[in-house]
Amino acid sequence: MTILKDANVLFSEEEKSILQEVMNISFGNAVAELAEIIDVLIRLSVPSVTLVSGKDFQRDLANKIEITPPYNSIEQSFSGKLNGYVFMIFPEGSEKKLTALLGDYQEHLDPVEETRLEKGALIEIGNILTGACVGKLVDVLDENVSFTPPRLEMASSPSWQTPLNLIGQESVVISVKTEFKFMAHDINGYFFLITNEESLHWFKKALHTFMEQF
Amino acid sequence: MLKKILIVDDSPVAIRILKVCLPPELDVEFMEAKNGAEGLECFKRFKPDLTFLDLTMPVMDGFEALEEMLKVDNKALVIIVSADVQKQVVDRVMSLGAFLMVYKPPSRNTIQAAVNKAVAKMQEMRVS
Ligand SMILES: [Mg+2]
Repeated sequence: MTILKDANVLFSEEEKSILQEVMNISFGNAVAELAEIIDVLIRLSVPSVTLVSGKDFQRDLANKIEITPPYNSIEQSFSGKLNGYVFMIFPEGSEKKLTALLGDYQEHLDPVEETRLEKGALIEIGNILTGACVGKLVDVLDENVSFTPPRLEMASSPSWQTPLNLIGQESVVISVKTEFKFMAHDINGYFFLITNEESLHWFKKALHTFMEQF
Repeated sequence: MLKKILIVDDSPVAIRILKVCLPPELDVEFMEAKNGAEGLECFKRFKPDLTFLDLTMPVMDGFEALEEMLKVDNKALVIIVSADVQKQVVDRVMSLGAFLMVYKPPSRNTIQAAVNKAVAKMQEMRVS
């Protein structure tokens, strides 16, 4: 993988650590919002922030996912001053547990209907977490973004092709990863947020402005 | 009477924000730790009057650290400062024996009010 030589100049350790804390706040809020809707306790991990090159980000993402494929990937893009993608990864099988958690299961469903409900559950939970997390993130940084509807991919290895249009092979990608676990339901998953190089400049300014209020 | 404050958080940024929010007139000695395990060691050695404790941390999380700290001193004043604001989490830390919980990012007002409450509690404990 390409090591970004001037990664520190583009985005300093200090800026990474501010983004990490802002992400911690945002995801924490998102999870609390989800827990208002479904009766779950979610354990969070410490977010990690890395800079990767456009041509490596797909491989980098795949390397960071420690669940065996195939998995469910719920993908959503957002745009505004901050442009990027969110991927929420759930393991295969979680769709059944999530459907049950949403209270959507019914007896004697035909397989087509069952699949439709399961896809719906993944998309709904992905949408709640993504909207609340990215919403809070830009809110903390005094901005707003608009979202495309979530898309679900169930593949042995998601292609993550779409973001390349936004990112470009040559550009620098900020990649933020958070792991989470639905306690008592044995569902673990990943939340990735990636943004393009133009957003990096906005991010830097917004993160420093955030710190200045203290 | 508030002489020693321990701050436990894996995020240096969060520690910096918290310190800025503390009342400027405080004349205290600080100790910092970056995870629950380090925090617990510092707690035993430093014997803080007041501890600010994060929940989401590597090595040992804040739930476990809180339990261990209260085993060492069941009257310890521990204020949880966390972004994990799930209702079940708040209920759990309070039932474990946290003194207060403050949501991240904290503000000067919430931190100063929390410190005032802690000082009042210390006075009350000294009298009784
Ligand atoms: Mg933390």
